[in-house]
Amino acid sequence: MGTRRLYLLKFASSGRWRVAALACLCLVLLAFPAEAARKVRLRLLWVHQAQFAGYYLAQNKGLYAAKGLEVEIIPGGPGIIPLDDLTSGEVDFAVGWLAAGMEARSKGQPIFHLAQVTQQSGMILVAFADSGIRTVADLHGKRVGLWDNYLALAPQALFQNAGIRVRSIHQSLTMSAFLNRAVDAASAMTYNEYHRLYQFGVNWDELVVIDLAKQGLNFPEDALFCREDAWKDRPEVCRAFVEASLEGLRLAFDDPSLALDSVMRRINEANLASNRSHQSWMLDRLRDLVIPADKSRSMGCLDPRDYERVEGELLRNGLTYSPLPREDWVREAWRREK
Amino acid sequence: MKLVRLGLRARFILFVLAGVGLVSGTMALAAFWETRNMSREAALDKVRCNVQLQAEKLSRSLNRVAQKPLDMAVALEVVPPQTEEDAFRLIEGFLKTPPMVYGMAVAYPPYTFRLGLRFFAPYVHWEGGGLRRVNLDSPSYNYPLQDWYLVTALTDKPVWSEPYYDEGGANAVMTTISVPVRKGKILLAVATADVVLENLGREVSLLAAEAGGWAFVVSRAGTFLAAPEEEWVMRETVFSLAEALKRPDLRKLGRAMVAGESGLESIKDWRDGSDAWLAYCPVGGAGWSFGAVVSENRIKAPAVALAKQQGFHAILGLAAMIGVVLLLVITLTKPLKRLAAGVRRVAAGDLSTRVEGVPPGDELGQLAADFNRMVDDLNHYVDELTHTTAAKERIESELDLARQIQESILPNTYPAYPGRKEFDVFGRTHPARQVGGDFYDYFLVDDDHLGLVVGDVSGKGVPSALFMTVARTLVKNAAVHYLDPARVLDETNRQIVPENDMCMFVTLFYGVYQISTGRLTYSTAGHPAPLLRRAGGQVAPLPQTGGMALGVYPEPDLGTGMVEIGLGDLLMIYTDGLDEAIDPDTVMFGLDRTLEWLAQIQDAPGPELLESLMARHKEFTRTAEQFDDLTLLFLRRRA
Repeated sequence: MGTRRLYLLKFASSGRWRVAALACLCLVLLAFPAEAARKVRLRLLWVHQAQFAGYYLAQNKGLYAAKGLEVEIIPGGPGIIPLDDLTSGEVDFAVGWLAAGMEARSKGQPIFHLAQVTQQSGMILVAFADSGIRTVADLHGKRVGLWDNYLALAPQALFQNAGIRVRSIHQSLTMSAFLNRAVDAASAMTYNEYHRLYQFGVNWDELVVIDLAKQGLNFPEDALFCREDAWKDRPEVCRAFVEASLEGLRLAFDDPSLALDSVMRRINEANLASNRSHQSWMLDRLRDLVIPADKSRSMGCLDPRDYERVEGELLRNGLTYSPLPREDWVREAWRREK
Repeated sequence: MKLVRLGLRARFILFVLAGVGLVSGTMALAAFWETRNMSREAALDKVRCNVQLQAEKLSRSLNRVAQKPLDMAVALEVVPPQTEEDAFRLIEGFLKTPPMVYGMAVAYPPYTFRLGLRFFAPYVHWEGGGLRRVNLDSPSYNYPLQDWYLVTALTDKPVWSEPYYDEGGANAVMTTISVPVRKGKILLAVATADVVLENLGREVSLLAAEAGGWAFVVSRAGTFLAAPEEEWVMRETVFSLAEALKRPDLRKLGRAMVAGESGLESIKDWRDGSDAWLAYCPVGGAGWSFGAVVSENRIKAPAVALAKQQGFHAILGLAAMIGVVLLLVITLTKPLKRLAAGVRRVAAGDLSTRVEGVPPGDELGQLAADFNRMVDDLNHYVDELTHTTAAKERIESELDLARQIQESILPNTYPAYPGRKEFDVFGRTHPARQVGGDFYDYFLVDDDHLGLVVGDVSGKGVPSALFMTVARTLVKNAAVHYLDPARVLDETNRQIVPENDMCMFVTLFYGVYQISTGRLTYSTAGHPAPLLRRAGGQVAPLPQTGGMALGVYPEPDLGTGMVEIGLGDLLMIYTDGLDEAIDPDTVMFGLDRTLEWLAQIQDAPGPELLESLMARHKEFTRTAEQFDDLTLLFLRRRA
């Protein structure tokens, strides 16, 4: 569909905001003494949920404050493109997918990759077992629910690799279209929609799962991004932010109950239709995605092989047009400097 | 362990109550069980019906709501609005007619309402008593991508949305019914109506309170639309609760509910863990499900109330029963107690006792009368016994006196003649009763002659004693006149026979011992022959003289015998009480034992000899009762 076109529109419209945001930032820097907490804004990838428990705990437990940061956490949602908000200067940091970051960067958006939070893909396609769909090839000509923009990059690569065409249907926040059989297959995250379906009374064995990771499209997803100039001007702020965020994530895994309290408070405040048992599931799955399988690697690292795979797939499928050297824009902000 | 034997009353009450209690208890239990099951079935039926009724009511009101966008769809198809204003007015018209909904919208596919106009989605909703118009045409909202539009457009059928929070509008949890508006195959628009779920929640909780439990409504996907816990609404599904509470049974129920089934299941209330019943029924049209949870206690309540009432009646009945039984037992045991008290008094010796107050006519009355008669008899008998005893005592004292007299009339001093050293004489009689018929006597007929008498009157006791006295006196009298012993006895016989009306008789030994010569002349009138022990130790009875006992025949044919008694010889005269005595095995003492004893004795004074023989005699008879008088008389000639 018109995902890319929409994206370009956003990009074009965000240019003048970038200037304004930089001006604002300068004003902020001038207005406050160095000791005062630096105010920064973080745009989440999605609405409030356990996926972001680390940021909530970093905020609630004073991890950001300890590093001189005052972080405002702004939830995302359908129609919101965090990396565009970052480029426009509306926020200072954004949670986005690696593939989305690559695409944005290759299109010229001045963003830096600071840390790779999830090491694996949590994305799957689901279909009802009674629909007869078993493999990717079965999706040819079928109505498939896909999310906006970059969230559809991996499935699109999948369809291209398989040489099939699907009827792409916009997928919203809910699984309503899938449940009402308005679509034959739907996008889902293992830690979210997949379990939502279970909580809507669909048994596991009633679903067929097409795991993108197993189809050679294991795209590491959540990553932290900042603007290029922010890194150049204040790398220590970026480092501090990434360190505190990852620390918050560790805390969340160590004390899931505490993490879920912080998640549920935000969900209730936002009147979101979710519940604690679902968030608990999400936190459990997230742990599997975040903790590197290779124990020698730290949280937040970006495996060069993963990078190359994503880069290659995007190029091959014409989703990007030129190679994107890692050193151009990947800054390992999670790595402690001497 | 000692068994406590309960009193008659206690036992009676216990047994009757146990019996009655067992029977009536069993019957009551059976009846209770039956009614309990019936009332339980009825209560469950009521719950089932109630849920069905509520589900139907809810279904009707939902269908009325669903009818609004459907009606609007018809209007849109028949008279399509030409301007934006027309569209808003149309919606307002529908919004104002009952039933009340929060808001209604019509959303057109992009570029279909008017040339050059991409988005047009007029939406009108209530706000502060008035109506507010909104055009949902914001590009960022992008309504064609929203569920309410997209799902309806894709499925081409009315869809009730999952509950959602309407931020900035109603600020409440809502659900939306979206219906497609079509002309032929072409989608003209999607018409919607929004329902605020708060009212549904209020209604449902009211219903639930009436039914004595709690109720809920879940959507087609199991999401709570109305629930007792406000935080469940929109956020939780039956399945999420099942997962959080680890209740697979709940998930199974949830699947039955979203599948549009109805049922009644015994469950554990997942709010408080108590036993409860869940009734559920589909809400037609929307694909929702209405459920109600009623606690087991509530279902049981009528049965429990019944049980309480029955229990109360049972206790009353039992108390009355105890009263009746007590009364019965008291009327039965009161006479018994009186009788028992009477018996105790009699046993203690109070023979004036009478049992009063036992009504006659039944067995107990008879018993009391018999008892009184028995006491009377006892009194009579005791009186008689007292008299008899007094009489007996008098006779005995008299007999005692008679014995003393009898003893005193026989010579009983020893030595009998302290001046005469030529002979030693000693006698003694042992009557079988107080007084006896045996007697002995010795007397000096003149200076050289000693008379020796031993007699045995037939029979025993007082008659014999009196006869003996007579015989003794007669012998003594006759001895004065004649020296010949046979003559003396003949004379005595002559005196006795004529006056012997009682036909008594007496055997008699009478001998006259000449002191100077040692010659003994004697006659044995039916009496055993005396034994003579020579100084050398030879023992032999004297020859019998012949003749009958005195008192029977006028001519007893008595003879006279004579024997020389040497120095140191011992003469022993005895009655048959000696040899005819028996031991407990009825063996007779016999003459042989007497002869044996006599052969081995030493020279000793008379009393010692007598004691020695009596000791030997006693040793033989042991415990056997003495049945005949026994008399012994010893005479020893000395230098």
